[in-house]
Amino acid sequence: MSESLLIVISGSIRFAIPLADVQEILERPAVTMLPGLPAAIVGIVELREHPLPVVDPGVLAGFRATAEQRCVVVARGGAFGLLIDEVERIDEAADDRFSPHDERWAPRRYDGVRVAGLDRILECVA
Amino acid sequence: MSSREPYVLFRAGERAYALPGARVVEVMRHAEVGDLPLVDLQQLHGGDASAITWRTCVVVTGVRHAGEALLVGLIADEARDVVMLAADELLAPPDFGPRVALRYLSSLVRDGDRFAIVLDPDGLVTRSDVERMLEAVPA
Repeated sequence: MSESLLIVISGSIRFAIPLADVQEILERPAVTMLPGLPAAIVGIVELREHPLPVVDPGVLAGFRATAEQRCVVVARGGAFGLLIDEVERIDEAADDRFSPHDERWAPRRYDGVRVAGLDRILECVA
Repeated sequence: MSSREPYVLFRAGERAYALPGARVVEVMRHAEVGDLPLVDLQQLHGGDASAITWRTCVVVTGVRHAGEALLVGLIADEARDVVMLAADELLAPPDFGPRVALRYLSSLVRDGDRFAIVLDPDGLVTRSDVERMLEAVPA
């Protein structure tokens, strides 16, 4: 068995997103910043005339926010997006290359690369 | 046709805000404000204090807290417009996760390719802010 992974770069980290969890990718959307949001949420962007919160995965991973990111990967279901710089490649990842990982936002690793668990991202935003 | 309600659009720093017309008492020039307690949205929302220029306006609104009510002026760099909005143009804020609550945020409305923040005046200031401002107002 295998799983398709989007390998992406976001600020200082490279991580993976299961392709099955991705709805679409927005290129250079205009971000509206809202006061009072935690550092991990950079603001909201418009997705088909509705506001979508955008999470900076670098902040979830413990790094500082960076201003370089240009794309937003929209989670399936359209509840939030992840801010990234670019998609590096798509990998067909065999099951035996995954290992457990102990960050809440990224419960697995694939060849050493964190794999985001999109079902728990918003819970990790504090 | 759905009914439309007026909203006052204004800018404070980089951000666009809107208040329901029904909650706006008046919009005046900053130079004409007397003893009214002022709320500096830029400062309240984590920025520097607003620079007061000839364009600075004050949007006067009433805030209510635990039976106390008072008029406050929101400092606006620019009062932009009064727009008529239908209920379906007022977008519910998205879910920001279980630990985030933005009390000042009533809804969002599209403003070009970004959003304007529709304020809930009652959620903008805390009860202690209101008490402090009430004390400062000359009787």
